[in-house]
Amino acid sequence: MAGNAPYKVPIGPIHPALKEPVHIELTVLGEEVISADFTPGQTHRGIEWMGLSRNPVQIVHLTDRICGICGVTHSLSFARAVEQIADITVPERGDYVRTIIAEFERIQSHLLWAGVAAHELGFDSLFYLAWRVREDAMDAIELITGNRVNYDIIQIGGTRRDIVDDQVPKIRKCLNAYKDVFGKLKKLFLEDAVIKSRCVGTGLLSFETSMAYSTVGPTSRASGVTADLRVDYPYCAYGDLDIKPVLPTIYGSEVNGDTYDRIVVRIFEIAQSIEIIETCLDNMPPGPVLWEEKVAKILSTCRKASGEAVGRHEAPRGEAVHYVAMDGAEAPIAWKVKASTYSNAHVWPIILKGAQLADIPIIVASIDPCMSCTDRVAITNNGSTKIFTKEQLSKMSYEKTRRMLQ
Amino acid sequence: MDEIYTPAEVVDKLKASLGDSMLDSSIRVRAEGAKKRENSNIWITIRREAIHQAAEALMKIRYPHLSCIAGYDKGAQDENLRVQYIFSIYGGIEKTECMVIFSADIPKADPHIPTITDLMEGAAFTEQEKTEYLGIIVDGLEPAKHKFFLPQDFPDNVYPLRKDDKKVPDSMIKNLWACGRPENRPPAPLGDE
Repeated sequence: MAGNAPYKVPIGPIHPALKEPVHIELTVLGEEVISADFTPGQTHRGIEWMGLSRNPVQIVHLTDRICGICGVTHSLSFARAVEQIADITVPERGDYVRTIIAEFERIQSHLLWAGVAAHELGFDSLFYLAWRVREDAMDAIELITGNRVNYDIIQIGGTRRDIVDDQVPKIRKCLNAYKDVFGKLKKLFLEDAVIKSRCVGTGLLSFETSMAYSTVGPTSRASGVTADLRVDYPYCAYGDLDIKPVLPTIYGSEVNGDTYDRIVVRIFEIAQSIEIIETCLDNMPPGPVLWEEKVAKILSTCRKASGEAVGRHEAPRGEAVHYVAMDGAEAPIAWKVKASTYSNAHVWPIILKGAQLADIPIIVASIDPCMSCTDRVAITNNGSTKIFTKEQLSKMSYEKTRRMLQ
Repeated sequence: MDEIYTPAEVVDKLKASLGDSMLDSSIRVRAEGAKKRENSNIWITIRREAIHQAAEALMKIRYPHLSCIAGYDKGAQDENLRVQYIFSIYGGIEKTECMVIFSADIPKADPHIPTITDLMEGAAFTEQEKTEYLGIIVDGLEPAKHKFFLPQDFPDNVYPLRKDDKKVPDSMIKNLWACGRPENRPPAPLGDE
């Protein structure tokens, strides 16, 4: 290999440094990245196309399967769009249940990300800790919805399940456990010398670039953009709460827009979510959670509706948008899904420029990319290897959920 | 800080800038939660020629956030596609954000839209998506080196969200339920019951 000629380094679509399929092509001079290009769309599934031949209630279940981490994000955005077209009012209690489950999703998603970030930095013991701690939120989600992923709790006009009084002590116990462990998480992620040296000053995204590229969520807020839909454009129960967007200044640091700031924002958003859930549990209004129990009636209302609407939700990764247009037919005439990563991924070529080759995994991960889906356990290895069939796994998961309900 | 206008004032200002190019407008309000806090969405239909002008006029009011450009085919028999520029302004100001959605019909016979990347660099990604999904040609946008949303070997002149003769042909559709179990695989470890 001759001299310092720029080399092309292809990474992905499948690569140990990436958690999800995306192809990144880097041009490097020595250790330094001089330009980067990326190719998403490696797992294109044609979900929008599939939606155009289904009715809104079927699409709600399809939206649950867009992403394995954001199980409520897409169904909530889609349901909110349809509710606006069909002029359906969600009962107040339904808004609160939606908010609580959305915030649990934020906790588990941020912890998942924190674990992945630790792994990308080569700090695997912290990765295990973060994912161990995440299990509590997964259990709470399973308690409320019956599922760990693909919650299927949102329905057009509300939620399919209520949070009953018996569940509240268990949810509070989970929140208290997070409060106890939060100080430790903060110390481990934000005071560690190695994490600081790898993350401070890398993957820089300026305020101006963030605005020009319309980035969303923690990626934006780490660059000093105060945008947070829950505060600016309150929906569900967020309008009843007193919340402020989390910026890196919360940790006393200045806004640099680097990888470290993105860690700060996400860690502190976990604390914010705990508070939101507690406030919602304290102030749950009585009444039903669903506008109409009978699916046939929901469908007949949707069939009569025509018009267009946009449903938005501040997902863990930032704004998700669903545009829906209906014209009085069974299936919508248009459905556009804008996931959070759609708005964040296109800054990769900018934040990777000038980076060191070794920092690429953490910089790529720092926007919390969500390309496709996660899966439930498929194989366990406990001394001897055993492969479970789909039926056995289903049976085991039913049994586990029932144990939690006892 | 710049003055904050009410949704009705925003519509008036846009009307003043766009004139006859603005075909209609409506303000829709949605309120949720126990306190019924209101959110406003402004829907405006414009002529295709005025897309760039509309984005520019909005930018004079406030630097907007572009969520994405949505778009759909109005039907196999219809002569038009329709695109929606989903903007919002006053993002970052508590309980003030307001969506501004510009819709425009694009004739299938001449599917061109102007780029707005000279105003907002970041619009390139979502403009590129309209090219791949609907076959809309974005004037002034540098041609992409590769596809961003579809597989690289996706055939030319087929656009997944079109409903007319450029739609995905039946030969490309694979129904999962009709696939059955592949024949060249080893047997399942615990039987196939």
